[in-house]
Amino acid sequence: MTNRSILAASNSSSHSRLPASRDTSKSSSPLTVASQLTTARATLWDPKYTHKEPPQLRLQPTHVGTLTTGNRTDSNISVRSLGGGQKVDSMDKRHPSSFQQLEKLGEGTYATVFKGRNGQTGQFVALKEIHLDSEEGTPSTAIREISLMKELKHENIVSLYDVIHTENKLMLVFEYMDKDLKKYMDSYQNPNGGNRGALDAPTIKSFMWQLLRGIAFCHENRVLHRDLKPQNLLINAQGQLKLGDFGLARAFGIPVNTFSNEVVTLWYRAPDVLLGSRTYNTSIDIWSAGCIMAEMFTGRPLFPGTTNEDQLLKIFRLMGTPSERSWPGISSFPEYKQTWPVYATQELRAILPQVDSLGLQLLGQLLQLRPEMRCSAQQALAHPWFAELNARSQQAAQGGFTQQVQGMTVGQQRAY
Amino acid sequence: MPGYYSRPMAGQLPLTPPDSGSGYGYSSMHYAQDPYAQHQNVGQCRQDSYDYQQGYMQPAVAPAPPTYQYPQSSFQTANSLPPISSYYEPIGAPILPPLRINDQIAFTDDYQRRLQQEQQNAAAREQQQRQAAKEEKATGGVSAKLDYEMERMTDFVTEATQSMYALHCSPVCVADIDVTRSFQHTMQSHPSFRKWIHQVLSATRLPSATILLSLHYLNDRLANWPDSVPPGENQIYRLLAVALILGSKFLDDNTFINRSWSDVTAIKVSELNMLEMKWLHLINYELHIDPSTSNGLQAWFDAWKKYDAEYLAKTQPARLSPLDTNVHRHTSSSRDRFSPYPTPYTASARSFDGSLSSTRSSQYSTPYATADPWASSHRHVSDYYKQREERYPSAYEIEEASRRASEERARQSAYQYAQSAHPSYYQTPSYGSTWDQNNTWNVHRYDCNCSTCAYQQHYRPYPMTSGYTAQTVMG
Repeated sequence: MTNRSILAASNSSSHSRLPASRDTSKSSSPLTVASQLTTARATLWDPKYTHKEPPQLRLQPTHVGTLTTGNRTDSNISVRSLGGGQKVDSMDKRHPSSFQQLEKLGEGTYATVFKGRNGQTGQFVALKEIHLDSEEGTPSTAIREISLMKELKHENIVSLYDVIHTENKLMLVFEYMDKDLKKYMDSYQNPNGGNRGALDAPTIKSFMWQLLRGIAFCHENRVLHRDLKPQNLLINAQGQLKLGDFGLARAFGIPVNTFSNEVVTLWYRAPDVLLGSRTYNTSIDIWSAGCIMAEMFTGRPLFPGTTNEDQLLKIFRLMGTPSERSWPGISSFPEYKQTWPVYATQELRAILPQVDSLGLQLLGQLLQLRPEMRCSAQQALAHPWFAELNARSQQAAQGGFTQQVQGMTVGQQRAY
Repeated sequence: MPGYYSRPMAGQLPLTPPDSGSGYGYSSMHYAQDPYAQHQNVGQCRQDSYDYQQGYMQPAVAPAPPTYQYPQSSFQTANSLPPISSYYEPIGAPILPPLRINDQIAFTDDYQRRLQQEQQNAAAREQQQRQAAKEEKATGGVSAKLDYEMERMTDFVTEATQSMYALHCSPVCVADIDVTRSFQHTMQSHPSFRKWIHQVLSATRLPSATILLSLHYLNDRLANWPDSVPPGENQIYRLLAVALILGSKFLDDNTFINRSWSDVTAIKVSELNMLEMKWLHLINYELHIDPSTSNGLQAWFDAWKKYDAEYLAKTQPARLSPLDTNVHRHTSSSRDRFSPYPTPYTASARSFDGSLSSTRSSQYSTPYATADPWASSHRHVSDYYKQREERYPSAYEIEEASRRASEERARQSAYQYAQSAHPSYYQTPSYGSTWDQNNTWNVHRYDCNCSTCAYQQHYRPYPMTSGYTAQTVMG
């Protein structure tokens, strides 16, 4: 499908939308995300795996119809002003008032997230509201998050339903998830005892499998997430785990010379990035996944460093201080220091006695100091630790499950 | 004419936006002046710009060969320096981090300081290198070290954009044409448009990948939504500006706010905001493209590589003469870091030619020599030195080198003139002759060793004086 045909289709559809701008010249470019969205969920729905109602094949497009009305000023073009879900008289009749804004879910550096309810379907959504600065234009974080998440339709990646671009606000409408992994762990009471915050082994295995599937899908689609941490992994009541917050994500298919090394929250940042590498690749997401896996077992972050330097030392204390012998080329990293204390490599088993030996083996492959030694997400998924989950997935494939997934992937390749 | 031409603040130094050591996020670069007003305060600009370059360039990496400025081009002022100055830094890119402005070292200290630096032990040097690497880390953002040559990229973007726009304006169905293959190299670029592009690229210092991605977006827009482009001459400025904004915001880790883009492009920030939003809606935020699709981004990468290579091939003969003078003057250790060749005189520089050699080399040994794609065509010159790699040269050998270089040079000049008569000889001949007149048949010969020449060379405001100091520092 070409760009043009997407546009044409949306123009002719009844879902044609007008941005909430009083400048009519801007309203010629309708957002068409809604008409294409949530095919992933629809195609992946399988009664074997969920007790949920079958999803609608196509999401009902949501629409803040009120925003086009002339009796509103710029200052109240906001979901806040739509509170109560009350209809506004002059509203477009085809698009009843969309979102009832509920409680605030969180506040990020550049956005505020609210829980919302689709006024028409009653479905919950997460509304990410981004203030548009007249000096900045559209923030690059928003541009990336939208352009990347639009392409990433996978059951382990949070769905972006819609984007509403108004004069001074950008609102992203996401699939609603009940809580993030951090909150989930904090509130979790392990029936078998254990540390507060530590999850039980089957849950960890399922979450890791889903996490790695989400990561693998990102990497297949030439996207680095670059900010994997429990706060950005979202959990719903069905036990599904999905990757969220792609504000730091970056496309990597295009040859570029530098990446910023100010990425990934410190505790989950890979040693090569901490050492100042600007040529990192998909392996930085793998390191984060390893840290998260250990954290789920213990309930505590594996490397809770306070500074870049402290973070490195905490890693070395466990993994051993690298040398030119164990890591050829390490001395050429910008942050390399000869003054590091020399730590011996610890046994993962000693720090994580609660992990079974296969799990430790996988963790060891994820947490490799040298980026080139870390396994890929695909390789991790093929690890015997996941044998049972993979077998179940295989079985499902015979039922057409995986076929659908593959079909979807192909369908997502855009023609230019 | 875009508004920035009339801005009165020319001559001040533009600040480089995203570095300043303050970390970034959204850096704001507020240029209060036209960075291209180089004819005012030329020396200062050059010197600073070169200082910038040496501060960030790693010595082991050869800089991209700078292009010559064409003296006849309308945007080059008549009173600019002799052409040699353009070897050092593309004219009109006097962007440097503000922190380094006061870093200038008087030339007279140069040699002493260099000696000191060379005496430092290896550990201290390593420390310095690491320090340099850390400084580089602190700048980030727009590339401190460009992966292309600014003049050539400017030409490329100018031609590509004009070709696309010409196709867009023509009645042909643009979508069917592979724009990257249809550049009209002979097309006369509109000087003000080129100058504007040069200003934007120099101020933002985007990586080549970002620029090429932006060109792809622009092509995509013109090909698929021709109706969305309002008619009018100046639209191409706006389209290219917004394409660059989108490319940078999508691909770069450190991006500019639109206010900064407004300052550089002389387009109102409110207009940029509006155009950006409009574009994003139009393409439905589909900025994440598969580079390998046909006629996609990869085609732009290929086109740029080809363009770059063709340009090098075309300018090869004209570029050789300075190389020869280089060889002749190859008596200073100060440029060894930059030379791709074995350097026979390294050890002897101090002992037999003293400070004079450093003076002369500051004039003639250019970082230019490091970009050696054409060097292989003159094997006997380099071979000559390779043979003598390890030896201390005798006076006879120096004399011999001098003679050979002079012969080579004479041959080159003749060749150049022959070439300049050739109609297909793309833009370079006038450069060659200017060079020769200015430097070869001057009052003093180009290789004159007299004190007057040494003095003149010494005090010419060429950037390499400070440049070489730091090159050694970095070594």
